[in-house]
Amino acid sequence: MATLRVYPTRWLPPNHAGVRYTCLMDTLIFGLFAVVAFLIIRGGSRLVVIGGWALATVAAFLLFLHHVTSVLPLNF
Amino acid sequence: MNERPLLRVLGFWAQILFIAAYLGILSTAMFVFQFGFGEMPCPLCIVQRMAMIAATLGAVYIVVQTLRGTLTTPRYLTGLGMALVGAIVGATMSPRQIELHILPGDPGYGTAIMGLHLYTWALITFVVVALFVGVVLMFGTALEPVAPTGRAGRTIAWVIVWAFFATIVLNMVVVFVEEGFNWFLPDDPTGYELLRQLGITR
Repeated sequence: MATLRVYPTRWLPPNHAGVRYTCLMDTLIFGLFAVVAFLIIRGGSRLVVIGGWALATVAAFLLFLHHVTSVLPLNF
Repeated sequence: MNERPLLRVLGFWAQILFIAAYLGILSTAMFVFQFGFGEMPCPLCIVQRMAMIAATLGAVYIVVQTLRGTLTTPRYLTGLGMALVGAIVGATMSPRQIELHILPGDPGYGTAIMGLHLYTWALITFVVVALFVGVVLMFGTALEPVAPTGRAGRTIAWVIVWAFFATIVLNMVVVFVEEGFNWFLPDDPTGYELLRQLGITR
């Protein structure tokens, strides 16, 4: 699977390929959803809630698209 | 004129039921299947969890606005719109995973419940949410929620809302441990990458 390397850092432990990455897409998207949920609970403005929610949902869908670039193993 | 007609009370508890249902589904996926059976969620499982959260945040928005006494019809419709879009997004994800295992003889990914795997159940839940939103919209504002007047009802509602928030945070922590310091999850995860990277497991 293709990986994207951005901002390598020294303080992070290396991954299985021996490379140090700083960003984690799934974790970030869950974090964004958590922030949106917190804003909703704390009575954040409607515009901010919708904006944050839309950003998180689009990010989740783009992550889904990233994982479905392969051709389905179907043969009829 | 009665400001608390039965339909509006039911409308509130229907939204609470919506949140509680996905709270149960997400908790079962994590605590029973992931921690109990040791089945690692694949990347497609994770994005479907995200879609469930996106859909449920619409109901959370409606419930919180109702409890705060700030719910208006536009805000009510905003919440229903969020739920519907989240369900549609999820319903575009699940079929992909279903099709990956559609060939005869394919055992599927993970344990089946009543003959259906979790991704098939996920699609069913997304369709149910879309139907739920459609039915609620057919009633116009008749089902626009009113907050419970009793302390117990309000407490139950806030507990479910905060429990759902905790579920999102827990999902974030667990996926971080599974993903480690990588951009993306592997296609077929076999363990917790962070624990490997930190040298705790091999």
